[in-house]
Amino acid sequence: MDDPFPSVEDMAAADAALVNVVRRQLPIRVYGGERWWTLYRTAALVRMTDTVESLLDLMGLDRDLDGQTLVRSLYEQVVTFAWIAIDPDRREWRWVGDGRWELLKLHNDAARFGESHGDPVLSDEEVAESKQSLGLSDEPASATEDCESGGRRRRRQPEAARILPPVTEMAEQADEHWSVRVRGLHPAGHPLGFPGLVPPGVSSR
Amino acid sequence: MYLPAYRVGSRAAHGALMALDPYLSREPNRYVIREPESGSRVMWALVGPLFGIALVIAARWDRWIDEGEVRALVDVATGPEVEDPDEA
Repeated sequence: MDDPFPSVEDMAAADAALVNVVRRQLPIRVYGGERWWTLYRTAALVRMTDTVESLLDLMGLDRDLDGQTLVRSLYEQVVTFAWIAIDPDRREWRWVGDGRWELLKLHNDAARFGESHGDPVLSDEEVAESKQSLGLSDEPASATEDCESGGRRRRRQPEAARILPPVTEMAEQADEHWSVRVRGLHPAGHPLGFPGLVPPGVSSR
Repeated sequence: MYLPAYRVGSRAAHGALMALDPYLSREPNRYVIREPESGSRVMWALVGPLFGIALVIAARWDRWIDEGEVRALVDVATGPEVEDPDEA
């Protein structure tokens, strides 16, 4: 091996200790009146902890490709977390909106299979509420557009400001914001340096 | 971290053809399909720094996270610390 990194065993031991930073605090109890960000910030950390622990299992099995899949998942979790943490009061609702959008897509896909595949994912009221919150609404059909829904054209994408931005855009903003506030991790220029979540200009491609 | 974590990871996540290369090796007159050998440690070395970033950011709210402990563990997970000129 000619890479500059520690042995897999040393990396695994350090990563396991990072896992323990969170594990030893569980379960974490918060008051009922706590902010949404407090609950989901903590849940997100535990979720990342699970992912890292699964990676440790794969590390021991030399399952590089499955490890790559999970590292990519961890990357997206960290980027999303870091982006929301820039301004949780305003951004947590885009996280909620993104979740609603995913649930709505699941609902619509499931509906194509009909009632034989079980109850609808969302009730009519929940669909209406989700669409309203995402800025999705019925619009008059144009003369040139054909549509399955009988003459009414539906906006197919939520308003951008109501869901999460693309991951590269979040990574760029997280780099810009946190690199001047987070100290002590490897600096820029190091292969694992921070900022380093995304190279400059990637999000604008 | 974007390239090895996101771009390379996307191949394995989405069933791309290139992700299958480690399963193939070529002999003079044939190909052999076998279990892949473990490759570079770069991918495993991403785990500690990525998780470390999240923990250090969370420490702004969660006092039960010891930033110093996290930084020390990230250093152990990734190799010798590189001096940050801004810290000097």
